[in-house]
Amino acid sequence: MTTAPTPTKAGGLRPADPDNDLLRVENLRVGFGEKRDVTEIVHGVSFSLAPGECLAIVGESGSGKSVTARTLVGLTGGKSHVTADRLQFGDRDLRAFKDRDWRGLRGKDIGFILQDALVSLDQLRPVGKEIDEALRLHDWGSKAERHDRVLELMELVGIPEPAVRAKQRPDELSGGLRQRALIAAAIAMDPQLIIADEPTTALDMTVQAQVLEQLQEAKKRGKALILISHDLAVVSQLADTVAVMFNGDILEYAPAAQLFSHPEHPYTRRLIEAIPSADSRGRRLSPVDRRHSLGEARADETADAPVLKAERLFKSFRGPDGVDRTVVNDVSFELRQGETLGVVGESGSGKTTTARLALALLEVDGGGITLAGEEWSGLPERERRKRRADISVIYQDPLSSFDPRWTVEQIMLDALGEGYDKKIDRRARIAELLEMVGLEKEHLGRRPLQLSGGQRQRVAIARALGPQPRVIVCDEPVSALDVSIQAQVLDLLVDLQEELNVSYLFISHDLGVIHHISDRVLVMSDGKVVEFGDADDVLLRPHHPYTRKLVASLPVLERPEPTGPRPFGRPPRAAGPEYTEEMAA
Amino acid sequence: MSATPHTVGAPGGAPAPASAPRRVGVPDWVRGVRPGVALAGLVVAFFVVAMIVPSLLTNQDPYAVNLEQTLQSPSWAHIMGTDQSGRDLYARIIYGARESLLIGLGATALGMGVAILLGTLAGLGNKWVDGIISRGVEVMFAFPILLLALLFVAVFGPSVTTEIVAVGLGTAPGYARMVRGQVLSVRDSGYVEAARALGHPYGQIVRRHIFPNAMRPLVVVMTLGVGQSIVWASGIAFLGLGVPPPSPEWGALLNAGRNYVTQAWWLEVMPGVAIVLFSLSLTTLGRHLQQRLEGGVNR
Repeated sequence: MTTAPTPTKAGGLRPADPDNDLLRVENLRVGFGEKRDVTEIVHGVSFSLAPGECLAIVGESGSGKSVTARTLVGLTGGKSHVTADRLQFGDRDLRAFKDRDWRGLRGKDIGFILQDALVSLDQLRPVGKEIDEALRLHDWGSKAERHDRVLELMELVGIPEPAVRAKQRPDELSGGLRQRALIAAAIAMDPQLIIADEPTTALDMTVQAQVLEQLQEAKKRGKALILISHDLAVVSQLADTVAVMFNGDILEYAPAAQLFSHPEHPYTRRLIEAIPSADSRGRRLSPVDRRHSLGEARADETADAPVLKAERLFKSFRGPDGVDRTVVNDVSFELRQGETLGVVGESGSGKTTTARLALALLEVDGGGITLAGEEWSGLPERERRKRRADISVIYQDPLSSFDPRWTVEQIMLDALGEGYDKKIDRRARIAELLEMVGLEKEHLGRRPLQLSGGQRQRVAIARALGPQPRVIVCDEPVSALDVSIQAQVLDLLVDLQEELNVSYLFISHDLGVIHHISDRVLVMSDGKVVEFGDADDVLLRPHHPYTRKLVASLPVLERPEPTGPRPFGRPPRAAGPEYTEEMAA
Repeated sequence: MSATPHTVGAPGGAPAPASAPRRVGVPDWVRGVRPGVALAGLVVAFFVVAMIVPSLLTNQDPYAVNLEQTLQSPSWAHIMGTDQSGRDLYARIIYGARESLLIGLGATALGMGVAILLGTLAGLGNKWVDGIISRGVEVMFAFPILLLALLFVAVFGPSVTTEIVAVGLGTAPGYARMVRGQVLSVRDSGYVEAARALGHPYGQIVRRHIFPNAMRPLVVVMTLGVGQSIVWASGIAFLGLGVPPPSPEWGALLNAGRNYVTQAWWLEVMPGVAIVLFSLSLTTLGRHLQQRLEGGVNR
């Protein structure tokens, strides 16, 4: 299973070019552990890169993509074992490098951009100093020259008012500016190679577009770029070549255009299939077949009336400076039985606050909400408690929404509450719920920490379904999941809705997800509703300038032609290790 | 975090498999124990035995005066020497364990009890309750424990109870702050909000989620606190504010030996070593427990 494709074998790739290539990696293996107890994480990958090119390494968590990237800058840590037939940067052999050599290389010849700008920057240091440090460590220029260079760099990466911003600390900057400051530090010494590890993962859509543009600029200046990402759509904006990694192997290695239009490996196909978007509506995202007999739809007498109706909601919070900020400003919407209403907006747009108002976990400052046609937000909590079974919630991070001491069984028993007096009844109901969300009996005894991300979210869905709600508020339910797991969870939500006729108030920052799952869409910005209507109307023919900007910033992936009704009938296999569906489970 | 090999999972958060290969015959929890922790366990066990049945560990009478054998240096007959009245120091330390440990446990229990009450009220109460309790705790913080002890001894006279109350109340403000912080963080946690969304009554949420999760880290703090309290109590006793003679309480031993320190070093060193050894061992065990519990959650 270790025959990694060489650049020349995978069809259409240019042959390796020893004179021109900046980076050549052959049969790279990385393991972790002590002495004889070494676990190999990367099983012999090979790739090469020329100046002005962008290689994207794509894969899900645990695929070894970040480890591969870190190996190239010598940051794998003390317990790692790195071997390779070739690990060459320019004319230097990286295999022989000692700590000292790496320090000379990092920042100067290879710039490394880390994922999370908030934790990667020193909280107590102005960002200007941080960028300056990258220069100072390599003895670049005098103090005054460095100062000018820092401002120049900040200008280059598109930070407005560099002189002011340079004196600010990371917590005074927005996420996008922080990420750009990191890029500025990484390119300060004008390195020939820039490695970006998930550079846009924590960012809003419009900010992501700006950061990608910066990387594109660097590429145009002749820099080589390695982009690590789980997001194929992001990758398709920049990459010339794409390597798809799974479990430490490169499964497919091909020019970007070819990989996206004619993916050869089934895993690549599946990844592309799994991306939710406008085109994927009504189609299943995951190859897992639909489960039958998911349960009975609730008999509903009020099918036409809105099940959740919000009218002119207002909510403001007092900031630390004592000034009131209006977070939800005149928001109205209606959610019908069996419908999905998508709420989309960037961070700070008030969508989560709106969700908490709908759940009556926060009191409204103005306006009112009715649930199933009856007063909801205006009731005292004592009255609301009796009707809380009608509306439940799924959070972005299921782990923090479970009591860490409890097993899945305790969580479920707790969720069913008093409605089921006898334990026998409750156990039967739990078994039924677990089956609905695709979990096994054996999961009952586990604690959330012992489950995978997808399984945790399934438990969260089972818990939300427990009280047989009419409405489920889904607050970014798939944002923390890998693409293929996200696909399964979205499919499950769609199935459950069809069977149970439950309504979703679905909150996400991801336009693709929203478009895939929503019947109608509410676009929020700065606490206000900027657009509300049918999903296709809003997202394909946006009227408001903000929605247009949002839609324009969405990286769109050219999709391959669908091959047959379900495209997983094992198309011709590409070179690479055996991939089976079980491996992903 | 833990050194056990099977906790090493794949990067990216895939959970470690529930069952791991293990060596036959050696239970899992034994293998992770470091030698230092085992030693600490032995020391604590020794003193706990001394506390419950001191006669098992010595056949000497800690109160038997023998004026022919005063201030003998350590020898085979008296392995820790004798004091100014010819009493065997080893026996006195063994018999003194009961009072010393009682003071440590009692003071910690009292301090924790007060702290849990105040901290929980402050954490769950409204702005006013929190404000009043927090300010009160800050005032208590400003009182040195020794001053507090002096006050209590002046009012109630020196005794084990006085010492427990003095040390207990002296350490309570620190614990109270910790409890309040814990309660606050659990109160604002995702699972408490999830429980509210499920429509559970507030009292039930406090009972089922907030209280147990907020208290969990305190188990460790308590083991650390017992050792600390013994050190405090010894300090108070050393100043003559503790249990009056002829009690063999460790702090009282220190106080009694003070006058002979130039002639008989063992009168100060031996009880001192007992105090250091015991509180150090408890602290080591506490840290181990902490790693175990927190590691256990991560597993």
